[in-house]
Amino acid sequence: MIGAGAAVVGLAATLATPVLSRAADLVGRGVGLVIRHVSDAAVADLAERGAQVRTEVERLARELVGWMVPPVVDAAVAEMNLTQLVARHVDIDFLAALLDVDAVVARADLDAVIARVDIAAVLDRVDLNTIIDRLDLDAIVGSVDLDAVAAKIDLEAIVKRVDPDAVIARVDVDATLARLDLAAIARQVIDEIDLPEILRQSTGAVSSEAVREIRDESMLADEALARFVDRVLRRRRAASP
Amino acid sequence: MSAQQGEGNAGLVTRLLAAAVDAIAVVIATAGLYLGATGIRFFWSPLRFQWPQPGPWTSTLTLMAVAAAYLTVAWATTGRSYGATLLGVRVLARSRRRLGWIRALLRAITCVLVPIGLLWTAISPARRSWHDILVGTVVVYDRYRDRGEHAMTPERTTFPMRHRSR
Repeated sequence: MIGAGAAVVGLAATLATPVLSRAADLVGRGVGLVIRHVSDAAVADLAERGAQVRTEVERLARELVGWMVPPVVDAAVAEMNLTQLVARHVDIDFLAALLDVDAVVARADLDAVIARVDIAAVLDRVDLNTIIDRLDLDAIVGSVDLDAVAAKIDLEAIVKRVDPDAVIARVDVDATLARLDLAAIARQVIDEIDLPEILRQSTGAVSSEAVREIRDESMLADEALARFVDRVLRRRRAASP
Repeated sequence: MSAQQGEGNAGLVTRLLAAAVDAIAVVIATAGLYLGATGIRFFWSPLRFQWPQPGPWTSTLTLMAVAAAYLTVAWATTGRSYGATLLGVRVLARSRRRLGWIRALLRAITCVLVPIGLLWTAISPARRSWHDILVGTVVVYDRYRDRGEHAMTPERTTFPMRHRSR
């Protein structure tokens, strides 16, 4: 706005300058005529007075311009849409290309800017739920190399830091046992085992072993007795194979 | 008659053991019979019930009758009493066939009446007792038949002796 005002003032000055110079020219010619017919002293006096008048006129002209121009400019600006005017006639891209952004940034005190920012208020305005909804967490997790992550974890160190006594001390064994139906578990185990079948098999194995032993021993005793009787009766006995 | 003829036939010790087991079985069976009869008597007239007290003759005759019946049934059906099953022997005809009912009954009666005839097994080269000789039977080792490995044929009744290493 200030720039625009200055431009208007310059414009007015440009318009006023020919008027003023014409007036000065007329005055100069009149002064020349007088000088040809008057004495040097009078001329000098008149020149001095003329200079004073010229100075005064110039002052008055400036005052006049200063008095007239602002309302005129205001009226002109009110009539014109400066934004559209600038957009139509000014090549903003060109102007932007001329800007040295690095220099601007270097001049800016970013710390001060950040210090002025109310981060809490900014965060309050951020809708995290919306952001999270937009995130594809599966894709993110899929892109993570979990093996590499696990390889980097030093489990030994973690385990060393764990105090097993403290962990065990926190476990309520009585409550855990109270929750277990030990009788039902025992019944289930016994049902699965088929104890009678095991007893039957082991008893059968033991008894069949005992019977086999009795049979073997009795057969050997038969043989021994037969040999003895043969010897007593002096019976010839073929050699056993 | 050579001693080799007795190969495969059960010797005296095995047969005595089998007879002892059978004797115990007979005593138990007789006791069961006695208790059964007593129970029937109690139910028949509970008010006048008294434990029956049979005399020695009655007891002996009952025992002998039970033994004869038990042995007859065992030999005529399977050729094995309980004692024979336990000791792995079987009573067969000399032809290695199963005894008929009559021959089984005759052998049972002779065994019950003259049990001492069993001792002849030790002297007989073919390991035959008086009852075997009288009725025409043999008692063979037949333990492999328990496992279905041995057929009841004359060739297979020869039992290979186990050689002990001591």
